[in-house]
Amino acid sequence: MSVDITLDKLSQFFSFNNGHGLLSILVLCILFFFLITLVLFFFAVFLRIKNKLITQQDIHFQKNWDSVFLEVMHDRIHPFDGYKKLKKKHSIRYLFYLEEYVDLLKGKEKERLLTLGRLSLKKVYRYLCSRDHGKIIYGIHLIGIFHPEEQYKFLMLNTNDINTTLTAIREMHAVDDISIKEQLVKILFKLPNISYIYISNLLVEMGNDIVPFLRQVIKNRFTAPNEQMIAIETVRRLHNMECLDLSEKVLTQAQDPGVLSSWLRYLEDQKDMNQLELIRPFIEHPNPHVRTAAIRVYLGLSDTLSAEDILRIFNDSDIIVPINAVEIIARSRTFPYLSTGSIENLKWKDIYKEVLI
Amino acid sequence: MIKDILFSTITVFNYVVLIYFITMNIWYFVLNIIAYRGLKSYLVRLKVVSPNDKILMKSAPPVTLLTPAFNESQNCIKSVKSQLKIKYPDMKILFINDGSTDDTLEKMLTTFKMEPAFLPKVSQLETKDVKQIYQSQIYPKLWLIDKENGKKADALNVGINYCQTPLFCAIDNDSMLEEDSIARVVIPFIEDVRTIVSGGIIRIANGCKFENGHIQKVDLPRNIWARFQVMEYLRAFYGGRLAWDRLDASLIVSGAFGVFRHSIVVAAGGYLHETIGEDMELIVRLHRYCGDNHIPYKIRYLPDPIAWTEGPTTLKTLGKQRDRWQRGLLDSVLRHIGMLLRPKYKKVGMLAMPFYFIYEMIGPFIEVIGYVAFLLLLLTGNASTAFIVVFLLVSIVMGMCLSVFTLVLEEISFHRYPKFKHMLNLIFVALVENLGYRQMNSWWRIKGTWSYMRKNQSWY
Repeated sequence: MSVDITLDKLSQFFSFNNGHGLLSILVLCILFFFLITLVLFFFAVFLRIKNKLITQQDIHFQKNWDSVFLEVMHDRIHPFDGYKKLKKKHSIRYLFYLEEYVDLLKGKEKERLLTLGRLSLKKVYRYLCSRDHGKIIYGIHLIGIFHPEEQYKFLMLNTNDINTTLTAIREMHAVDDISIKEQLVKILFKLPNISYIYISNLLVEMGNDIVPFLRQVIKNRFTAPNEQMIAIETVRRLHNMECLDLSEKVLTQAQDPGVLSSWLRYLEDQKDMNQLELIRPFIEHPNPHVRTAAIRVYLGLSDTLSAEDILRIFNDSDIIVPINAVEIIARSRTFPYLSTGSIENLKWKDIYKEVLI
Repeated sequence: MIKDILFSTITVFNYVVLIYFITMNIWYFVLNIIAYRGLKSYLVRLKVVSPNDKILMKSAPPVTLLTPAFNESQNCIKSVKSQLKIKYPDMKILFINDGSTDDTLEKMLTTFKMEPAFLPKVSQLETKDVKQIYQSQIYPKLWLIDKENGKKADALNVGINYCQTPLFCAIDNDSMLEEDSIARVVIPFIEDVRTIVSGGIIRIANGCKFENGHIQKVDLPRNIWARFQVMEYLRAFYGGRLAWDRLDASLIVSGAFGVFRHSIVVAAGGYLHETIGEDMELIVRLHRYCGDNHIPYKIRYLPDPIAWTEGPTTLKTLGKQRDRWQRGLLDSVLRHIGMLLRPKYKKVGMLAMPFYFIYEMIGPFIEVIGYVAFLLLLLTGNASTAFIVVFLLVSIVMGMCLSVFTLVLEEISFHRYPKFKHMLNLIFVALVENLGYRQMNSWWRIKGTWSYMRKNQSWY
């Protein structure tokens, strides 16, 4: 009986006709969402006004900042005196604006502005202890620019957060201390999924100091091909010859196609004639990227092109081999004769004909 | 008796509509909140990682821009000139003339001094025949492929076959990319090698001023239909795609602007010829391909690389566009219906597919049938006028609330519409669009579904 009454009440409550209950809920919904809309509307207006004000303020402050930066840059005043003349000198906006100048400068001018920036870092240090992820990132970025060694102390505590760590390391290529550099390289090696080219470009910024460390990686880390690949790519991009003597070890012990093709590209760049015999077998390697790299370096170094080479390249199972070989073949001084019939039988004859033209 | 059954059915259906409506709006609010959080952390990142960063750009992979064009004589030169101004270290432009019957080819050949050239075909996706390949003598990075007509998907597949770079960017011929759009959109590929697709935001170009293919002044369109679309695009890209990106379940990367990893697209079979929504279908297929083959992958959406595109300005063309979108959506979801609620496809199968199926695909039906059912209840005296009015008001206020939320997202992020009156105008649009425009959209989508079903009876 009581269940029936409850159900009756419920059905009346939710009735479309007489159910004042449902109607009341819907009216409450209208009021609630209308209120939220109103709040959001005023928030949007507030944001717009705030953005406008910030833009206007920036224009005003930038006039002051510009004049001080120029005076400090040209050594007309000492950074300490410049600091005293600055308005809003502890704001993040100021430091980001100063960063724009620092990015464009080199040498002593840059150094002077960095000194000026360092004087305003007090607030930024507090950011590093903040719970706000954004503030931490800003802090790392700005300290990375103005005081990289200091930033490293913080970095030691945060290696689990990939984004923050990567941001930190990006800003720290200017660091002088070799032991810190080595630590950074180790951290970079641990970051998964980041393009190895990107990491090697970050390492290139650290300069030739890290080559001995990278050499050790190339020599011993055959169980970590990704680290080896990054190390080889960095050495190649640094145009450093100190690792050439590792050729035999790498080419005989490495199994990973990425490591092999990276090493072959390194040899191509270094143009070391002594390695020809070691390279030759890789022309028939099962991986097309290794074959491509081997053919490029082999043809580039030997400067002789036989009919057999042509047949091998233009009958390769993968098109990337002839496409990548074309540039080297076109440079070759000797060009073997191939009959029209054998040209027509080539798998990639279109590409070959283009080389002939 | 029959009257009673009919009445009960309509009443039950109305409860379904009510529940559907409540859950849908909860979903949209949740998506907006996720988008807000995502946007905030993205903005922090943007402040410290510039797309022009020296190290990032040194690591930027080469990209080929694929621009399919059919009878684009009026736009082609302007659009290619704007593409030539894009700042990116290693970029090739491949203009694909899809058998145009106007003077698109002649204009391109003469304006850019194009001569026949050779480009090796690197993949073998099935396409219509290529007639000739040309290379510009003025801009060596500009190439043109003249092919037989085979529609957009076929033209894009030809581009993919001749793409020599690890990444390609598919764009519409009438879209104009901002100078740093490509540099911004490739960042996910550099920072995470699992990235296979990355897309940017599309904004309505109507009303904006362009000079030499580049945006000079951002303004709102005078045309009311285009203005509605500004709001719609903002809502879709901020509230929708950004949230789905945060959830790692993006199902759409706009065909007007998206960068793809060449190797994975070729492995998945390229664009599908026999679909009208080739962009969405490809993304869903890539999810499926990677899920089936256990390939770790990421499909990303970024809110700052911008492509400006002209929106339709008449009801007829707008209706046709929405009809086409709905058919594309239906086709993509139904083709891959096997992914629905399959844990193998992770959030895509368990979250995104059900969402698109329930709210985007059958949503318009429920909305329009709901209007009819409420009308019937009202006419038969089984529902009070007060209830109907209140229900409609709830729907309008919730719609407004979501739109204003989107405007807040625009304000905290890029606020590209600079004037105060722009914002007030958009708020006005957010209010008005619920009174007719939204209903028209639902109608167009129903029409789209109907035309899809008529042409594809075998599917049902």
